[in-house]
Amino acid sequence: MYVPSRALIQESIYDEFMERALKRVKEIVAGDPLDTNTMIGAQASEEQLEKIMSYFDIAEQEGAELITGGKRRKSADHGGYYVEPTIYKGKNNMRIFQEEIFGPVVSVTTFKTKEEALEIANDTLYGLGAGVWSRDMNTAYRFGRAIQAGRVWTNCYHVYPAHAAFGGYKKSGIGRENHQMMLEHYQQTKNLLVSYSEAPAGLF
Amino acid sequence: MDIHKVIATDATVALIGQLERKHGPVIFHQSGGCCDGSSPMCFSQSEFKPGKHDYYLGDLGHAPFYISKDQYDYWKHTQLIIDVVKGRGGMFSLENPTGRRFLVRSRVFTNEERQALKLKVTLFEPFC
Repeated sequence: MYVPSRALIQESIYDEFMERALKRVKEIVAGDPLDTNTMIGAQASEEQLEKIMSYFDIAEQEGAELITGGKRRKSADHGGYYVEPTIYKGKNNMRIFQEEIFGPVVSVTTFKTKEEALEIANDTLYGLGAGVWSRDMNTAYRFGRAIQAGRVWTNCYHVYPAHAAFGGYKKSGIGRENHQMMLEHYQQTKNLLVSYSEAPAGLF
Repeated sequence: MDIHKVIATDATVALIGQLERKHGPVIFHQSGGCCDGSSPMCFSQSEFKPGKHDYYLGDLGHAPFYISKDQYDYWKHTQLIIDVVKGRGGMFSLENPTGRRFLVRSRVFTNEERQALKLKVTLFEPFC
């Protein structure tokens, strides 16, 4: 999924990590998208807003723990379909973990071991994009190989070079776009069979 | 216990009726969650054939509602409530030009309903 839906955080660093992450969430500047200081704008349509609201509803019903956000952002200055940056904590089989919400919403869960992290990462119908953050390049490389996603960013996220192959595993698509390999699909391969012989052809 | 896995709001029933008058019998398929997915897609029955990987959830009036089996596996603890909101529908869904859009709302089944559906009663392990 290219809108990151889930964040898997090692249990031993969870508290310290979330404290620092939440501090950043509080610093997000929301507002008019034409203002260059704005970091998060509004949702593109009322329909999308309604969809996000329906996920907030189901997150609550499924018993996910709301860490921050979870409602529309009221703004005196702007109309528009603004939603607060939202974090839930829950379990990977909750629907908020399994669907791409397409809003400023992420669901977090913890893991104890690498094996558990990989099992959770791959327990989804989709596999367009994923990210791995680690100082240990051995871990980063092995996860890049093992995560069933068409693109795995390592110690970065949402980087889109035009020449990088784009496409997903599982229900996130068939085939790939971009990259020289794919551009070749748009071209014809032609074989010219030319004889330079001045002698009669064949049996003559 | 009579349990409906999918139900329609009054607004949905009315919009389906409007689409049926224009297009004839219709069928729904719940689209997957990638990108602009997770939407109920409404098609003419003459133009969409469910396959063997689709699971029949129930009817909205005369319109059958399907979801792919593997997606149902992740969604089965919830009842789907098909509602209508303002907005433009998915590119191929029949309600697209009406200015209204089908929307999935959901309700987590009660313990009794989950038992009757032979689902696990405890949905999620408690948080650590």
